[in-house]
Amino acid sequence: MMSFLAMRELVEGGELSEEELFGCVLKQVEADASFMAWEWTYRSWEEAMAGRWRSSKGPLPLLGLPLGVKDIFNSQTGTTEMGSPAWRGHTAGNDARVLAEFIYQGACMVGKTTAAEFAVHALPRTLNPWDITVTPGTSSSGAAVAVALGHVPVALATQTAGSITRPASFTGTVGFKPTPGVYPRTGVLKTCDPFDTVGFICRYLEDIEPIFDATRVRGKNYPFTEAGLQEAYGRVNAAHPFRVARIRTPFTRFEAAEITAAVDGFLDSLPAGEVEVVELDLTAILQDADEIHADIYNKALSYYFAIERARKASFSPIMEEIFARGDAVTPDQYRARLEQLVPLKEAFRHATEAIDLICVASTATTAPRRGTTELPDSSRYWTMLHLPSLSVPLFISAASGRPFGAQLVGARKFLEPVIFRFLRAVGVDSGALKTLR
Amino acid sequence: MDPPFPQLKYCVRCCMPETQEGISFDDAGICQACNSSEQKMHIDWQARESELRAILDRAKAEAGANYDCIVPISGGKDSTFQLHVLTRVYGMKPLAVTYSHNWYSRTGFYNLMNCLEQFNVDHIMFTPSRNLVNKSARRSLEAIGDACWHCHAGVGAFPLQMAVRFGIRLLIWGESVSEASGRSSHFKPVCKFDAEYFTKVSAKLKPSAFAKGNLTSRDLYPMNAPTVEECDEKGILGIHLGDYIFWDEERQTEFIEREYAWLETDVEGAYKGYKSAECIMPGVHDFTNYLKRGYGRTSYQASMDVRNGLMDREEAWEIIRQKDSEEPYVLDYYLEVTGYTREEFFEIMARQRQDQLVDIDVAIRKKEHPSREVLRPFIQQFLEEVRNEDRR
Repeated sequence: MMSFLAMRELVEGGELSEEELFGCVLKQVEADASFMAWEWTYRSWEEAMAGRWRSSKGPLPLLGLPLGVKDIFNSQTGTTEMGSPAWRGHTAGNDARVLAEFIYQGACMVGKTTAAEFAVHALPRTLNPWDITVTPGTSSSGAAVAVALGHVPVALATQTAGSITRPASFTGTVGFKPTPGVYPRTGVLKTCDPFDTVGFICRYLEDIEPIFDATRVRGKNYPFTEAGLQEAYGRVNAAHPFRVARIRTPFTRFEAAEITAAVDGFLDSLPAGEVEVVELDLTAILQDADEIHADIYNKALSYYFAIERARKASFSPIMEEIFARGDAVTPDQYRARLEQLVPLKEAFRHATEAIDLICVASTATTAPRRGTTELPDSSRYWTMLHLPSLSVPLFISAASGRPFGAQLVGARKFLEPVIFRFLRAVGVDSGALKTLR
Repeated sequence: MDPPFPQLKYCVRCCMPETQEGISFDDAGICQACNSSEQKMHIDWQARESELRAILDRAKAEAGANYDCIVPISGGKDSTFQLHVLTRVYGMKPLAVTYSHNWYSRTGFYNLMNCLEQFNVDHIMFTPSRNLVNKSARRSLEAIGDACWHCHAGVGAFPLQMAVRFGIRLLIWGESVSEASGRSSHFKPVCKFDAEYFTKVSAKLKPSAFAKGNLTSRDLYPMNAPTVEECDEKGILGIHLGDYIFWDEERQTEFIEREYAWLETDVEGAYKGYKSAECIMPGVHDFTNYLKRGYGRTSYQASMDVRNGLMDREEAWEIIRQKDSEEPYVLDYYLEVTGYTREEFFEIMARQRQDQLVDIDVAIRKKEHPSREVLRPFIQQFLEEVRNEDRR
């Protein structure tokens, strides 16, 4: 699997047609069918592009990009089943806005990757190619596995707690969860709107920024996103040396010693002229964060799936449990929890004023056995605080031989440009990643 | 950051207040428009698209030598998108009809002419006289609490008149009524369009009830829609494309901007540059809504952005506080053409205020950034420009 940038060069140079590239992807998908990363794929490039619009004003920045799409994004053709039998055979008949934008800019949707039931916890049948006995992570399971196997360089995904970061860490792929507001959620399954965030999983670090630049919303119709990113691009050169925090949170205690040591080792290895590492204990600030997240998350799920519940659709036991917990949260309690987010964000902003980035383990452990409970990690904090994060697969466990990642988290919204610049400055490129193929 | 009027009940999810006409909240405190945006996810839009194709095919088969359908257009974003869908995707031969509010912005007039050229369609436009527009704008403030009755009434009536007159049975509007108004749901879209419907949803008063003093029923003749019986007799069917295809107005707007050179502008009271870009008067329209109901265009747009994950509620309150309360520059023009003084204007608006806001200070901010549009009707600007050139 080559990077998207290398693919684009071949397609632009006429050495490979998009149709041929699509054919290569399909062959690879077929060869790896036993990993069950895909719900379905188109049979040809022509079928994939039928009825879809691309920019008539070239050059197309995403020309040649074969794109995986988590099966909770609406697609104009094919089914959108949300990882649930309750939606089996559903034809959305429209492309989610972010998918339409990727295609408009030159990408071609290969098909739908598997997702956990309604993008929550129930694991799909998809297997982790590093070890089929362990979980590939939820909920963007198929997206991560399709990228890990090298079927596609990029797959659209979503995160409401850790649904991009965890599968990325468990499969040795790069997980990018941008600041909410960068990508519209229109046409994407709603699970918990205060936290639902669109992002992507990819294989090569160098692909992220050009794809982000080509597809994010821009212009004065998006005043906060535009101003935030412009300010961050302005800060990129000023942020030198980068002030990076090594943190403690209420979840640090769950981290395997091997994982903590690896992230510490990474931080200690960073060039002193480029990076200043500071210690930051966020335990007190984040003390109640998990409960706030849980109440909002559970209530939102029990609310947004009212139609399916009224139809007596079939749900997994974990989904039923979440509904029951959500039903127990009253509307007043839900509103109160939403209000608690404001001082939480404010306290966090105050505590992290002097830093640029946080570096923390992506997951508490490497991928655990299928069917066992995953230990909590910090991803849900960054999701609920609306911070950008990039999970980079930097490590292989000596004990299990499986990968795990470190997350770089912007200390404020819209610090994506600072994350990108940091990785370049400290010399972390795709060659450093612990990937499968 | 708090909502601008903490005394009001707001949707728990977006930023729409209880004073919005027709709004309802469910047990969780979430409004109908938010629920509508979720209903859209449950709809099989492939099946809806098949229904649309069948309607269009039938219209084509029945049209014979006539036009296949009428497309009411203003030159706004939806007009251009409707024409794209109908001509480029479905190969329809529409007759485009425009009820001009006679308040075209320069950008709006460009957009109207641009879409006629881009899609090569025949077009009929009705333009009410300047006096009629000015007199209606004056009367409208007292009668319905905004400046725009002649437009509300005309855009409903004129396309129906054309449909009846030319025997074109299918009318195709753009955005679904279910999209954000709370007046219907995507599961049960509105499908009956006649004089009663348009009076109910926008004009509020029929021309006979609107006529008063020097504004006679005869003046208002063009704003009379055909009756239910006339529409039924001709077999008129009206549809909204948004009931058949997943409506995503911002995505559609970006598409027509890139592909068909549709232009945005500065729209007073809004932070997005595309809604009502064709008109100079949305500033007054939305400001009167703010004075009556405590919210303006920015609340509406920010709520949409919150639903679409493009803004969080804290950001939304911040921009709502900045924009909704701004007194628009075009108010000067409105006062000039209606003869109202500022005091009279605010007095009339105070009488229209919703009960929940009666004893509350409705803050007004002075607008500080210049507008890109000259806030006078483009036709008047154009005439002056030509005269000046001629003099030189």
